[in-house]
Amino acid sequence: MTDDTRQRSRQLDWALTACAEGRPDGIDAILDIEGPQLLGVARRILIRHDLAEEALQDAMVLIWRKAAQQRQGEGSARGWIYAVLRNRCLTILRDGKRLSSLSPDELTRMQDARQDLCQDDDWKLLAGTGRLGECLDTLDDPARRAILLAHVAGYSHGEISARQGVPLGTAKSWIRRGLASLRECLS
Amino acid sequence: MSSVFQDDVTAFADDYVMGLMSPTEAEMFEALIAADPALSAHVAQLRNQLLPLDLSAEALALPAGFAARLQAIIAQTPQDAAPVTVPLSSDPTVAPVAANLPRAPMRWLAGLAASLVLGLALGFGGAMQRPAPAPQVVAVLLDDQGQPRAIIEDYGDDTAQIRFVSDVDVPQGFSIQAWTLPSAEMGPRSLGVLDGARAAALAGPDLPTRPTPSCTRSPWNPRRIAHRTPDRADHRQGSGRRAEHLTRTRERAGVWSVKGDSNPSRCPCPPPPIAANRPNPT
Repeated sequence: MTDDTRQRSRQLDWALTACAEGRPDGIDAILDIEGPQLLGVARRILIRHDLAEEALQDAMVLIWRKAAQQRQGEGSARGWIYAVLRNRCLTILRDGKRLSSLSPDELTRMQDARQDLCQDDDWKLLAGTGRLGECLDTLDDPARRAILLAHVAGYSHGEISARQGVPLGTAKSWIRRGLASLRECLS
Repeated sequence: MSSVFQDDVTAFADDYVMGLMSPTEAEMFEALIAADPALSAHVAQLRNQLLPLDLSAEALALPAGFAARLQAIIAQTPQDAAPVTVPLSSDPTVAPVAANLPRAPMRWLAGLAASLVLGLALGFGGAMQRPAPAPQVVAVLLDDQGQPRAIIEDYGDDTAQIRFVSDVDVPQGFSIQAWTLPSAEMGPRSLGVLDGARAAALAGPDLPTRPTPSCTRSPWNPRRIAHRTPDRADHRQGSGRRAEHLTRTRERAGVWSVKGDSNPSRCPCPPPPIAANRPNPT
């Protein structure tokens, strides 16, 4: 962990504690520290800028609401904040009603853009230069691709199986075994 | 913790962190996380390990006025209270209270039990590779801290299996036995003294026709009985018989007390009123 990461973690811990105590400046602090990166994650999953902003706003409201509960648990503030955002993005992505106002062309564009996120040749850009990238490199191609499609592009089991042309059970098994290998490599 | 149970929980944690659960499943799993620090730490570790994938997204400047708009929204958004962990009475003479009753002291405990059983049911429902026969009802025994201690699987043919999912300390001179309460009229019936806190097959009098809170004493005092028909069992009945099957299995369930007492002939505490014994309707 670099000094910068450590300092960010401390600041986020402080910000989340502030939220838990009902102080709105905690929300401003989270936005200052992680806002642009969070918006980038949301845009990568949702493709459309308007949906990404909506997801970030919803996620920040959820963080405000649930901060006190989270502070009682374990785990890093940063990991939790990103998890709340990702979950909010996935909810929007899988809410048929929410996307029904988009044209079929627009929906296709979203799907294709998500698929393009995890092209075989540039997956290393997604994992960065750390240990995670090294460990992803040790996985079978299908397992690595399935994990990246799920985590980076927000694909469901069903979407992965359809896109990769394999039965649902195979897609699940890729992810399960892939994550088990990943855990072992990272530990 | 048994490896099968551990595998299930690990798999659910994977799905949760990867965003592969439905919103309902995720919400229930969150209830489980909230009550289990070890699981919470496991989830947090996996999240942190995968965080570089999020940090590789290209950052985008927030639009002008975003922070101000957000502040206006949260100014009108009440915060959820932190969960209050009221300790349940550990007095062994106090009859356990079904946690899904309106007067239950900890409503989340029902959610926790439901989520754990849901998890198990999903595990059984989704795992085609698991050998038959599948249990018809799965009951999870929680201690008064809300931690799962044992799982009872009812195979619907008057046999059941008990597995312990965490260490149970049996004091010297005490034994463990499982009890069932078929009905208030019949009274509690022993399913036999167990050979310590390890997996065992249970067979004996008919499994109860109505669920009952456990009749227990210290040192281990299961508070809550939860059960649910695994999805796979539902489907195997065919659509025509499904409702009947569900009704029947819901009315079974809830054996399940395990207590430290060397006398297998009588259950020393009177059964609580049957009205307190409705199963959790999940």
